[in-house]
Amino acid sequence: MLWVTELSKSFGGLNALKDVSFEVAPSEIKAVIGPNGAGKTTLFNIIAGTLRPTSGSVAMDGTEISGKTAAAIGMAGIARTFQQPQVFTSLTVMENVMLGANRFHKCGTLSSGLGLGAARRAEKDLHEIAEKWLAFVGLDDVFQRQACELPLGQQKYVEIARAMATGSRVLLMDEPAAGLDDTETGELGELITRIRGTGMTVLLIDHHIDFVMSLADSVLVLNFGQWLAEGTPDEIRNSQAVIDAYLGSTEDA
Amino acid sequence: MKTSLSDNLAAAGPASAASSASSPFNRELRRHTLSAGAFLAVMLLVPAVFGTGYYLNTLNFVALLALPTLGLSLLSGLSGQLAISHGAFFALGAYGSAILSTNLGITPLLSTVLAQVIVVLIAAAIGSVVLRLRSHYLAIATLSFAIIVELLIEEARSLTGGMQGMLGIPPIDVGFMELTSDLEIYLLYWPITIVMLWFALNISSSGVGRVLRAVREGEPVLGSLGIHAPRYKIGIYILSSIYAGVGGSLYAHFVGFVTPATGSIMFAIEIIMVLALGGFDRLWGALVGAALMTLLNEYALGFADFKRIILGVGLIVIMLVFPRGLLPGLIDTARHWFARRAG
Amino acid sequence: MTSNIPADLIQIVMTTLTVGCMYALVAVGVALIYSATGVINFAQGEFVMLGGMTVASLYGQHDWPLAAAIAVALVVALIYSAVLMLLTTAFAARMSLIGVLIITIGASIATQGVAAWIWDSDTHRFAPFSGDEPFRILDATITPQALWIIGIGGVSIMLLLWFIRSTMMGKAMRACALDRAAATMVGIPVRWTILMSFVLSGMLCAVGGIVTTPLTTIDANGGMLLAIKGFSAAMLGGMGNIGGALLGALLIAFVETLAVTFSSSAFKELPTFTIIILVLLFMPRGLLGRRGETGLHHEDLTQR
Repeated sequence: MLWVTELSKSFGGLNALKDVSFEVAPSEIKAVIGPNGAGKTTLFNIIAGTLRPTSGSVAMDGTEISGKTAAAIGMAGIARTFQQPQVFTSLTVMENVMLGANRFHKCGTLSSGLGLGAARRAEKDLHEIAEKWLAFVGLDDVFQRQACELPLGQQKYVEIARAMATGSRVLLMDEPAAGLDDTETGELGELITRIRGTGMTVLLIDHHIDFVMSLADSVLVLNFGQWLAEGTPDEIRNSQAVIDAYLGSTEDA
Repeated sequence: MKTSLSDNLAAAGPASAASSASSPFNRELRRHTLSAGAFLAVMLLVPAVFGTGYYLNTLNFVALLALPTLGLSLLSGLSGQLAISHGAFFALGAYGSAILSTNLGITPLLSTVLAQVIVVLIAAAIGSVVLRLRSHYLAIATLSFAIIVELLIEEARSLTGGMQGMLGIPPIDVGFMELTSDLEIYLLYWPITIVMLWFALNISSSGVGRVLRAVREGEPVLGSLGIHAPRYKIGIYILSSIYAGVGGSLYAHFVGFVTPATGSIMFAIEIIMVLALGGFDRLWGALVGAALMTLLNEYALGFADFKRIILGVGLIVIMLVFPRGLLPGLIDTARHWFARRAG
Repeated sequence: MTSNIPADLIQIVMTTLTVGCMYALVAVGVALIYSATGVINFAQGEFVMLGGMTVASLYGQHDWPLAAAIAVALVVALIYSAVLMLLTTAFAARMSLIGVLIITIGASIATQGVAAWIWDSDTHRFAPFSGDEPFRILDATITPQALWIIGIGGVSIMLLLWFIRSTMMGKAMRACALDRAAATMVGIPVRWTILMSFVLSGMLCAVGGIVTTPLTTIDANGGMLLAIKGFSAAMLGGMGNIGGALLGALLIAFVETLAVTFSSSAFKELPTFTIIILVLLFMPRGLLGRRGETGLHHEDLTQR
C-alpha cells in the first residue's frame, strides 16, 4: 500500500532521518515508535507532505507522492489527524465532517446559488456520509453542536470522522493518544481497530508503548533517525536492540 | 487512489439513525426562497399601496447601493477578507455598459451582461495573484487597483469623457418599452436585487459557503482534506465583484450619466460603511445598511468634507464598539438587555 | 526630447533619488508600524499631508518663522501618531487584522475631511528652503530643493537605522517585532515600544511631507496615493523589512521616472503597478522578504 524507500531528511547537516525504508501492507495497522528525537515526527511530516525529504521516496500503490504538497497528498487519498485536534471551531460537528467529504461535492457556485437539483443531491450525499461516519465514531448525538464546545477527546473523534469521510485509503495518525487518560486510550484503540475493519490502512506514530503494542499488526522502531527494528509487537518486545535503546533513554518504556 | 462515494458510504456500515429524507441544505433553500419571496411580494405591494412618488426614486438608490454591498458581504462574511475594489468594479460595470450601449449601440440589457464579462476577467486576474497571499494583501492590492481605475477613467478622455463623465446613457428597454420612470425602474431593479440576495443566501448555506467559512480558520487543514482553498477564495471574489458590476451597470442606465466620482475610492469606502452598518456577516444586513446610508446621503451628508469626516469617524466608532457591525451589535445588546430584565 | 544622453541620465538619477526619498520615508514608516504590530496603516499618507499642510499654512500663508512652523508640524504628527496607536492597538486589542485595517481607513478619510475643512481642497506649497533658482549640470536642471529632499531624507533614514541598531529602545523594538510574547517576558515595555514605532513612523513621514511640499505641492487628499506608493514599496521589498522598503521605494521611483521621461505622465502609475503585480506573482514574499510571511493565520473579520 505504502512504500517508504531510503528516506532521509537533514536539517542543516543534522540527520533527523537517515535511510529509513519500510512498507505498510493494505488494511494493516502499522505503528512507528521510538524515543524522543528518533525522527518519528519528521517521518510523519514527510509522508503527510508538510516537509520535503532530502532524498528517498514515498510511494502509494506505485505512485510517487514524496515532495508533493500537503493538499496534493490529501487529494491522492492519504488522510491525516493532528496531534492537537484541528477542528474548525466556528463550524458545527456535522459541518466539520461534511468538509471531509467535500471532494465528493462536484457542484460549483452557480448550481449551489440557484439551488439546482445537482447541488441539493450533492449536499444530501455529503450529509449522509457525514452522518454515517459520525455514527461510526459514536458522535451522532452531538452533531449539531459547535466543534469548539466539545471536550478535547471528542474533538479527536470529530477529526477521525472527518478523515474517514474523505474516502482515503490510508490514514495517518499523529500521536492519537496524546492527552487522553487510560479509559479514553482504550476506547480509541477499539475505534482504530474498527477503522482497520473498514479496509483502511492505518499508519500511526506514538510513544505510548502499551497502547501501540496492543493495537498494531506491525511495529517499526526508530532510533536517532535510523531504522532499528521492525516486526510484530511480540518480536519487538523481545528484541535486544529495542530493549537497549529504550533502557538507554529516559523514555516511558 | 481514492474510493468512490458509494464505497465510502458502504465502508461506514449501516447508519444508526435513519438518514434524514431532506438534508439541512434543502431546508435552508426552502427558508431562503420563502423569505426572499415574501420580501419580494412586500416590495411589489409598496407602490400599489402608497402609489408613485419620490420615495420610489430613493428606494431605487437603496437597491443600487445594496448590490455592491451584498457582494462585499459575501466576500467578507464568508471568507473574512476585505476588498476595496467594489467601487472600482461598480465603475467598470457603469462605464463598461455605458460605453457599449452609447458608442456601439448595443441594447442596455445585453451591454450590462457584456460589462460583467469584463468585470469577471479583471476580478479573476487580481484574485488569482493576490488571494494566494495573506488577507491584508487583498486590501492593499484592491486599493491600488481602485486608484488605477479612477486615474484611467479620468485620463482616457476619448472613451470615458474624462472629468466631465458621460451623458445620455440610454435607459434599459424591455422589448419595445424603455424603462424611464421611477416606478418602471423600481419594478425591474428590486426583483433583480432580491434574486441576487436569494442567490447569495443560497451560496452561504451551500458547500461553497462551508468551505469558505473554514478557510478563515486554517488553510493547511483544508489542504489535508484535499480542498484547494485559493480556488474557492478566487471564486467568491469574482462572484462578489459581479454584484458590484451589475450594480454599476444598472446605476448607469438609471441615472443616465456617469462621472469619475461614480466609482471613486470614497464610494468604495462608503460600501464598507454600509457593510459596517448592516453587519459583516449578514446578507440581509446589506439591505438595512444600504437603506440607512441612502437616508444619510439624502438628508445629512450633502457637503463632501463633512461626509468624509462622518464616514471616517463612524467607521472607527462602529469597529471599536461593535466589531461585527452596527446592526448585529445593537441586536446583541438589546437581547442581553432583555435577557437581564427577564432573568 | 534632446539627444543629450549624459544630461538625461543625470536628470533621471536625480528625479529617481528625489521621488525615491519621498517614497522611502513613507515605505519605511509603513514597515516600522507593520513590524511592530502587524498593522497595515492606511492612514500613513496623512502624516505626509499633515506635515506639508501645516508648514504651508503657518509658514507659507501666516508668515511664521520656518523653524517654528516645522516644530508645530512635528508636534501635530506626534499627536496624530499617538492617536492612531491608541485606535489601532490599545482600544482594539482583540480585534481582527481586517477590523484594524478598517479603522485606519476610517482615520484616513476622517483626517482628509478635517484637513479639507480647516484649510481647503486646493493644492498648497511654500517657498523652497534656499530659493527657486535651479542650477545646471551638463544641461540637466536641478532644483536646490531636490538636494534638500535627498539630504534630509537620507539623513533621517540613516538616523532611524542607527537608532534601531544601536540604542536600547531600538533593540527593544526589534525584539518586539520578532516575538512580542517573549519580549514581554524579558521585561520590555511593549506598549511604549509600539508607541515609539508609531511616533518614529509619523515623524519620518511628516519630515518627508515638509521637505517635498515646496517641490511637489500637497493637498488635503494627497495622502492616500502616497500611502499606496509606500505599501507598494514595502511589499516589493518584503513586508516589515526596512532595507527592502528602501530598495522597493527606489525601484518604484525609478520606474515612474522612466515612464514620465519616455511617455506621457498621465499613465505613469501603470508600469509601476504592473511591476508590483509581477513581483507578487513570482516572489510573493517580496524581494528581500522573510520566509513564512505568506502563511495564512487566524484572520477573521467577524470573530472576536
